[in-house]
Amino acid sequence: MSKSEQFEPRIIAFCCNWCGYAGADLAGASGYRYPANIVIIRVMCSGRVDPMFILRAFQFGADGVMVIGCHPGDCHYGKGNFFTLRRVKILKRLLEQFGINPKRLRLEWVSAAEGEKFARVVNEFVNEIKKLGPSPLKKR
Amino acid sequence: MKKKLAIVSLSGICGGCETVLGVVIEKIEELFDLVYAPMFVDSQDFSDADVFIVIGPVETKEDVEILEKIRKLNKPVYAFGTCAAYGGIPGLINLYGLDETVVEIYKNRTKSGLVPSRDVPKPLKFVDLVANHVNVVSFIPGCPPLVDKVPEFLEAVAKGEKFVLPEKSVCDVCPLEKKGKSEITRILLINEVDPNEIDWNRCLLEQGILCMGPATRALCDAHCPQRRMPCFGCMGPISEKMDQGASALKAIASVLVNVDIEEIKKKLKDAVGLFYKFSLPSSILKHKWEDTK
Repeated sequence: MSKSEQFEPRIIAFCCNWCGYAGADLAGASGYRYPANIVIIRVMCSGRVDPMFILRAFQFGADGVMVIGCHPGDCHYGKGNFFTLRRVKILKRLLEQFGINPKRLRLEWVSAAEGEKFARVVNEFVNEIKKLGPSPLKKR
Repeated sequence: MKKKLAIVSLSGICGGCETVLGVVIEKIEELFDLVYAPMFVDSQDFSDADVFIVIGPVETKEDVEILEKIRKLNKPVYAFGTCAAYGGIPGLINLYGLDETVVEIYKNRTKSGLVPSRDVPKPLKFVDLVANHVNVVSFIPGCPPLVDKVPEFLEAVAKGEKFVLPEKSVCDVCPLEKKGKSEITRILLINEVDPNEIDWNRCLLEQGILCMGPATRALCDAHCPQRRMPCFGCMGPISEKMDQGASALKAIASVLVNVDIEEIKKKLKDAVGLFYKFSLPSSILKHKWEDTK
């Protein structure tokens, strides 16, 4: 496979306004590099991410979905990220039963001060999805 | 003049919907001329019918042919029951595919081990919805639909109108007391419940019994929770734009916020079987997919 034909995944990341998005901001401001495969969607809280958003992202051909929120206990709204944690855990099992690799969904805690962690996590995830190949739901 | 009605049953049926129609047969006789209904009248041909009621999910090539015939007649079609509307219980086959299921049932679970191949219609790859093959005017969900709601539906069919469904959840009509706060630290599956331990006048979900009420359409007056059973979700999603499993997952995960994650993993092994028991073919992901390991 030549370099131009290399598989470039399309990844949706739901970032919470207070931590994940601020972390992404800091990563940009501090000059950390992370791949352009990632499309960031800002939500007010990671608890706002309805499981349907994630399923729809897969339906429309996303190769991977990331949910990035505050560290447990740091949620701006109190308990939002505890909801997300449980939803993502059940959703992973659901995806597994549907025959979709649960590694395509990832939950990460990134605080507003962790620009370096944001870049590292995104790099890791993109490399992992590149290894997994395109999503089976992708229309060719 | 009365309209000529044909009741067409596809291959995946259990007979429950026909039984409900049998209960209201006087209403059917009052409103329609029944020209084709294998359960009630002896006739072989539905080509002169004015309106169709279809029961059951689409599972075989024969079903597709029947629906193709109906489509060519260009008459209004109504779906009856959850199977025709959302896929129903047979829709769970989509987790394996029909071919694999036929082999499993006939080869691995019988003594003779013979898979029927001659004179039986060929199965499709996955269970499909009636609405994907013909234009459905409207439908009534339920497994089976409630007898008190069926006459209303039949009147809508006779007038050629849409049957208007409520966009409310079972919780909205459920009379059990909800305190709005959940402090549960455990999950109870319905087979693990000790009936003396549970307060049957209080919301079951708040006591740790997994109930599909928050994500299910209220066409049933919450019969199950009042009779000491959690809702299983037989009425399908609350509105057409929603995915029943996703909205149930959202609601139930929020209730379990104090429960240990290991317990959730252990108890919710069959997440699809719980959240999509009646609506798998109409869900977002629809059926199993082949992914790299």
